[in-house]
Amino acid sequence: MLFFKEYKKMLFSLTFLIYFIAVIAMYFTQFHNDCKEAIYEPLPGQESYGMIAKETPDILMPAATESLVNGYLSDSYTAYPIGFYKNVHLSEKKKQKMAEIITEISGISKEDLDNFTNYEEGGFYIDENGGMMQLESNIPEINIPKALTYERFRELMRKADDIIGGGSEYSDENIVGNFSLVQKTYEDALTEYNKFLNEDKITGAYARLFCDYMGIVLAILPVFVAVSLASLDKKSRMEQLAYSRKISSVKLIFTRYFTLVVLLLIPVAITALIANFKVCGMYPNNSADIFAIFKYSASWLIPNIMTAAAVGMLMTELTSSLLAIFVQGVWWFISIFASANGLTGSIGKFTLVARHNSLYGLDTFMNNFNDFVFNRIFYTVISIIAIALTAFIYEQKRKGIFNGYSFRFKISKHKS
Amino acid sequence: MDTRSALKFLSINLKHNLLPHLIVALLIALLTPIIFTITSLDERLAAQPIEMLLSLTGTALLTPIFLPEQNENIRDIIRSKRTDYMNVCIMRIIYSVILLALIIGGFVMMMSFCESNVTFRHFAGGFASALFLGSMGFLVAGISRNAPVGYMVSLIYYIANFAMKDKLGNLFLFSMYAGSFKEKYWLLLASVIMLTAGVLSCKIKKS
Repeated sequence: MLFFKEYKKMLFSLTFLIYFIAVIAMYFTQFHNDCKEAIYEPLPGQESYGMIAKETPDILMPAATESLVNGYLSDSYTAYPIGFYKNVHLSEKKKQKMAEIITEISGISKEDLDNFTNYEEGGFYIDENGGMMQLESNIPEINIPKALTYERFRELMRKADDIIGGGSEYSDENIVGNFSLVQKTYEDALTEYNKFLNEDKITGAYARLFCDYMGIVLAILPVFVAVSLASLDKKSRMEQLAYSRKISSVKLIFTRYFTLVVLLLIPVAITALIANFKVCGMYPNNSADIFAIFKYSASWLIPNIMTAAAVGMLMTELTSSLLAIFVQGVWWFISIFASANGLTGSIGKFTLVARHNSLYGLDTFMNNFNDFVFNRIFYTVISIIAIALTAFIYEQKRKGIFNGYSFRFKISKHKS
Repeated sequence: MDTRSALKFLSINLKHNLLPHLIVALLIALLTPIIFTITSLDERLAAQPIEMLLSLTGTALLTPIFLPEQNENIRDIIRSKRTDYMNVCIMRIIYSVILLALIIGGFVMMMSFCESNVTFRHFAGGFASALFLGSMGFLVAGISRNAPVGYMVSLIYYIANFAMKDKLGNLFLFSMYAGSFKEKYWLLLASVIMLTAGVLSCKIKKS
């Protein structure tokens, strides 16, 4: 049977072995390593329950205004437009626009800002005795107008974010987390714990963390296995032999793809099983959902594997294996770094690598749930279309109509 | 190999083998300032774009050195040629390493023009990380006779540097960003060992 023939060929390939080891290593160095201690029920009267981002205008507005004034005076704004740190300096035209925003939210005019000479940047410093000192920044006095509504303030913050170029501390995604952090109360901590226990049934929270880590490697490594298998055929000069077989191109390509996806799932299933035992073992007295990790893995990770494998097969058939690696690599890279500044609930409609690097944040995940469902279905459908296209190209090659695009550079006068 | 043959060899290799990989390396270099800022960075932050993205130029340039001969038909022709295949590999390594140094050097100079606090250390450190990734890809591709495996191992090691960080000890690629330079000597040493082993592997295979 074709499935088993392909399966055997792929199972004993070097690329699959490396893939297998890499996936297992990712599990043990990341997820397993994070599962050292169980989460316990918070007790009343604890010194601290940690911090929580709560949208509180009285805290957010002064903090964001102070930060924006600091940014203007130092001409330095921090932003993460595609995940990584950017230090943004504004042009004179943009400075003018920023000053208008600052004037409206702080009452400080552009002239006062530009003529302020005693500016000192705040921050932590080491004093003469080696102790850590905090220095308050020295900026003009801020008076937030009473007539300024919170809605208008947020609108101005969006404008400021646009001027900076997006991804700044003032964006809708970042502003609350940056400027409105408050101490968790006992009630906050208890609510969070109850959600973890009752709604996530423990393993649900761990399943998201598991998929977050595994999704990183599963969105890129399958492309190598896919292209390597194609090059195996070329290397062993089996291409022409396969072309002459009776089997239809659609059946051959879809069987190969199905076999590849099943094979690539093996280490995922093994690690999901280990994760399940590990998590359930950490909470022996609680009733956990023993299927959660498998359910999440199936819906979250299979589309990743399908997409990377499909890109590998399609691009190899169309052009070359190296281009397949390059295309998937760039796509993966941009997706990973686009979410580097927001690892929790970073799931858009078209995000290749969905991220949720936390055991908490069920609400954040559920807020994006519709996007998540759309996203995973979208990638599954796209993968199947890509494989249908691969079968079509394969058929054209068989008939001798098409021989793939080549990116080799020819020499006009080359004597051998 | 006389000078004329060497020049002919260079010309053919540049046009036939190197150009697509050089384009990929240059695209990575062009992508770097889009993803990272390179303006007005202090010494530590300036290491970030060099180590975390530009270092992949090493993978792009050095991994495919054995690639042309991974086609069985070409390998058969190579076996019949008088020129020692090991010399061919060494020449390819030399021009790839020179190009790698030029790309990283050019990028560091560009950062300097953009008022970032970069020194020769940024060039040397970035070059060491890139050379290490490239040598790893070169060695694995050579031993396995499969270039995708070389790219795969090199990229897995690159990802491991994000996941495991300084647990990789002296072979940590992003050490300058973490504030340490001593790892770069180890990376250079390991690169030389891997390049030598890769070249020797092609000698062994021919015999």
